[in-house]
Amino acid sequence: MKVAFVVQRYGLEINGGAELHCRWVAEHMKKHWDLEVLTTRAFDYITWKNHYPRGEEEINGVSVRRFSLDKTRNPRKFGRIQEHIMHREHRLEEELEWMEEQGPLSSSLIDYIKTHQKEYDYFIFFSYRYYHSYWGIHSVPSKSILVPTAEHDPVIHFHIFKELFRKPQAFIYNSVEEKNLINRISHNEKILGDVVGVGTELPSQYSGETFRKKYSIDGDYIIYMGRIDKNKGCDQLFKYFLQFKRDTGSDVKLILVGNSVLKIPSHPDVVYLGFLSEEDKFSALSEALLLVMPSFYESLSMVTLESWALGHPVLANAECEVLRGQCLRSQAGLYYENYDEFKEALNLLLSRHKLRLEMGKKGRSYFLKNYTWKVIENKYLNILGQLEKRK
Amino acid sequence: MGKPNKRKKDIIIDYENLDVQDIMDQIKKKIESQPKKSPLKRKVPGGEGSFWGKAEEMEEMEGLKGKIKQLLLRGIRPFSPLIKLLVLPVHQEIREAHRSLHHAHKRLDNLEKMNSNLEQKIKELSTQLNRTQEYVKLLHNLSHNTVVELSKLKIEEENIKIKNRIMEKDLEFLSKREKTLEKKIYS
Repeated sequence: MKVAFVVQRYGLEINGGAELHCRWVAEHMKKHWDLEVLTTRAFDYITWKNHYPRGEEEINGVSVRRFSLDKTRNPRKFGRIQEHIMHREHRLEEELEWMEEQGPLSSSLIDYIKTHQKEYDYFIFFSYRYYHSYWGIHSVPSKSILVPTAEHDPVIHFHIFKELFRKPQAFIYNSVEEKNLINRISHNEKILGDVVGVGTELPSQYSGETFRKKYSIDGDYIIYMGRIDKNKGCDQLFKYFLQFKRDTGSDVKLILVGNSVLKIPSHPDVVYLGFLSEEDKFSALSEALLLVMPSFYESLSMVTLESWALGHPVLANAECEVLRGQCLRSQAGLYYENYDEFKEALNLLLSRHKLRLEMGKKGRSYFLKNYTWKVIENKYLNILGQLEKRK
Repeated sequence: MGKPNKRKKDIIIDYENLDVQDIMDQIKKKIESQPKKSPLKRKVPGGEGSFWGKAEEMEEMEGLKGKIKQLLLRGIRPFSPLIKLLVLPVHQEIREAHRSLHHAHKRLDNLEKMNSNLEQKIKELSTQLNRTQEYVKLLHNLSHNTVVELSKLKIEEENIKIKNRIMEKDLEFLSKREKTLEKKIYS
């Protein structure tokens, strides 16, 4: 069976979001299918500039075919169009104009999908909101499967997506909440779909002790991992954490791991480590008392799954339906809607070792049941198997 | 690890059957049951140590002295809004409100100026538009007349062509006749 994964960007340097999700799934599914990744030459998701060379290459054993981008994105123009159509009555043509402006606009990729569709059995599209998925699915609806990676983003309510969500043959969702959201928007319950997500593998070597020595970290700490950004709720986390320290006198530290696009408060107990290697990342996580996830929008938080894989509880932002749902389903995390809840929940988790231990166990078993690669691979195979039976 | 808050012990957790929803409900209940400080009292400068805080304390005093003070306090109570106006930073608030109103007025003035400029521009544009409309009408008439004239010319051209053809035929006939007559004369 020949399967194409279609994604906006692809490369080892891209270490987050739907692109990493796609790469991980591709690297695990290549043993089951004749798999090829169809993508663009872009690296920068703001401008979509051509970066990688055109043509074919192999990345971690997966063959990748790259297509040139017709134009770069003008963020100002795009922002203006988005602002207009999000706050005013608008026509369908304007939504399509928004889609074209958003990109990544690669007509050669869409042309390739159209002209070579007979060579592939299925096209799996990642990220619903981009040009490649919208026009790709419209080009080959009978062979398309969508991994929407949707969150509570206002653009999901555009009319073009309501129609798009009725086109594919199957859906691979990241969470129950994402499935409900898409069903609610487009009433596409009849289309085949399963909640799958993505798996995680723990590195063979990681050591908390080495990590503490390497970065001179002593004492107890909670950890945040991911892009340090206002959109990820980090400014609220800083505010709450510093207030928590003032109110309780706790000496717990907050360790921050990831690239930062936000000013980090200058406080001795807020420690920024920057971007870490996989080994250091897991070492840091293994020593943490808990992971804190302040993000408002997540379709699936991989780092939350990694925390559970290591047997650590999570303190999540309840505004994010997915994180809240994951905490309730796993019984492995608490959540907060405001500062009072943040304070009480964090205090409870810090003060009760047994609670952290039990939640960690629950998290680990939830991870093993739902998010090991074997489970994920079987779910992908099962969906395509069902589609094959229908033929 | 830090200084865990001992009050948290009142959240009951069944570790055998961990229930996050139940824990969160308990946390919410606990937050609700915690006494909330009156935001108004916190906002009044001086708080409990202020004149009014002390006055309330004095009200609670017992004995003759206390009663006299209570009577005095009751006596000045009607004037309390005036005293508050003088003591509390109401004046400051009024000044701030006045300042923001002044700014709003300034902005409105600017908007009015812009509006009058816009009206002027609209007038100019409408004059231009009227002129353009007249030009368009004239152009339309001109093109109509041109079409009519062209049609007439075309018809005339056709007539001339036909006449020309007839004359050519006549000429041909006459030349033939001439040749025939010449033959007869010389023969």
